[in-house]
Amino acid sequence: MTTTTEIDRPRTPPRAIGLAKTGLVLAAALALPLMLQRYQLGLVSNAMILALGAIALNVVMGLAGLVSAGNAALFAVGAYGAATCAVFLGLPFPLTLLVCAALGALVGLLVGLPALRVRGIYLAIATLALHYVVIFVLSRYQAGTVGPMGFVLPKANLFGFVLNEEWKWYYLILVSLVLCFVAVNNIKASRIGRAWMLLRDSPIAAASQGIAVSRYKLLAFVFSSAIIGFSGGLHAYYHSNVYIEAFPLELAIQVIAMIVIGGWGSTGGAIAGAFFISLLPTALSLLLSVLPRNAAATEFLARNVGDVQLIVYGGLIIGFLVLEPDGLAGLWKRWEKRLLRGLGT
Amino acid sequence: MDILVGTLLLASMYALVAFAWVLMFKTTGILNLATGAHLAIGAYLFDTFATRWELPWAITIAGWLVSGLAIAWVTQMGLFRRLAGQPEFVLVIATLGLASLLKGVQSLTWGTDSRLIREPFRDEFYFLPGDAVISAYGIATIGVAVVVFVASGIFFSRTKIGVEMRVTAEHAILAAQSGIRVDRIYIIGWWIAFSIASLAGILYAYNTALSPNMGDALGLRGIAPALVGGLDSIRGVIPGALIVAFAEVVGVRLLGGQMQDVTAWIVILAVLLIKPNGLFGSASVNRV
Repeated sequence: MTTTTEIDRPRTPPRAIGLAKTGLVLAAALALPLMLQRYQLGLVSNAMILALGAIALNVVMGLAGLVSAGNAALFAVGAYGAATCAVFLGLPFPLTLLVCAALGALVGLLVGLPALRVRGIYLAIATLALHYVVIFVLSRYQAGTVGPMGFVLPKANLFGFVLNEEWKWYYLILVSLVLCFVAVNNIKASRIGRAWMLLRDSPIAAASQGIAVSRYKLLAFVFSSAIIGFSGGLHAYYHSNVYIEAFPLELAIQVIAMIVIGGWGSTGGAIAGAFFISLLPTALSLLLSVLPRNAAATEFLARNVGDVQLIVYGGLIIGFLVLEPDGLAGLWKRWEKRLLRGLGT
Repeated sequence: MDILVGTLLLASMYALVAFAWVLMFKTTGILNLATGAHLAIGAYLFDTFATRWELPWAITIAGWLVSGLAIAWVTQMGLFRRLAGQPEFVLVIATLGLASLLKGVQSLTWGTDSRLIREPFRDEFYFLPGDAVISAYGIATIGVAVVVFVASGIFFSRTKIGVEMRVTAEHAILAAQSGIRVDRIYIIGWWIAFSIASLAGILYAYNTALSPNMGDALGLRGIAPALVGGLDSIRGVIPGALIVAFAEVVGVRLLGGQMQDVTAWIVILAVLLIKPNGLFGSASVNRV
């Protein structure tokens, strides 16, 4: 029986292997700017900003078992908060990012408070409403202040250190991502994280254990909203431009696709899913350029990139839900187990 | 007076969409975020039969109904049957994936420009007292909504399948134990919801034009009247639709056209704040 061997084996790989893995990933991440061109590094930075949002959404969906379609809206709140602080108030960059996180948390609290009083599913509706209302308000705000071209932000200045190069941005975003990763994983292993997972798996059991269900759900949503707000601010400064068309509902669906593909509740999976989804268009266009010039097919794909993306995201969400509910994280775990067995550990 | 006419017209379309939302939520327990995509796809299918192929009306309607049934069958047997027993939020995400997929297919198949749909009769305008105007299609829309609601009332109280659907909604496992084929009931549920949502889309197309953003503009927003009336309350659909339509018509009148896209969502946030279960919704049993 497989179950007995499962119990005999240590559930997690030995500590040394875990450390080696972490070291390997970190070394690769640190060395990446040496290996990639500027444009490619930009793609990775962009993927990492989205990964922040995916990690945050994973707290809400993967750990607490709630559906949120509000990622794009909260991202926009952060971005417009950063634009306002930088352009109108002249606040320094680090302080601006804190304001973004606070704004995200505040909006999350305002929406989560009424929605989570009743049933988890209401958060899906409330965040959908949030999306349309926030985008409407921000587009009026943009139209009333700077016009259709949107805000232009100054160069970010981190305590006198000007972020004027791609690699400098890369390291800043990498540090943010690592910090966020560690923070979320620590919370996941704490009392709060265990409470979230229990109320995801059985709200009734959670309530009978004395967990204040609504309060913990709200905490998950507000915490995640703060991270998304922060990443929105980072996004605004990184692109030094904020305009309303950058935050469609499709963006929220994209982030949901990231964590479904990455695997429920797995922080590393969320990052993997973020890379997968955000590098997909690039991979597709690369594929197009490599393909023999079948003009009709190439032209068709090039002309309908947006629609094809919608289909691919939707198809991936459905496909992973049905066939591989644990996502890339689950696949990776299986491969790793096989690999370790092969090495004789 | 024209506010009244505008409200009635919009409310009859909203009532149909909200009916589709509530029906899905009640029979299968799924918050179907693909309702908007269903609305658009159904209307475009109808347009393909009616306008592009110029089929006779009876065949157009039959073709539209049969393709709806095919979509319902594939959705249930190919996707949701395999997700049976999964927690609620997984099902909701599946409908979101479905919505994205269908939206892409719709825009790929039918393009992104608005079009007019072939008319069964010439449109005419009637002037009412108080500067109000209503078109023949406006009257037809209100009429169709009334007919659908009367027919569904009879369906759910008098027919065998209708009663079986209500039984399944109460308790799927017990229903299966007593010999009801639950899969078939769910397929019928998807089918009716799809047909009614897309009927709203077709009526919308006759009143304005068939446009690609119909799914978002009418379908997705149809969750507002559903929520106002109570997500699990068929009874609440009509008052919910009247309230949301009134808010939207007045909002546009007072604050301009851009309010159209956002009023329904503001109503949703307000309802969640004041009375989250809606006017007629039951308080959830296991409130934890």
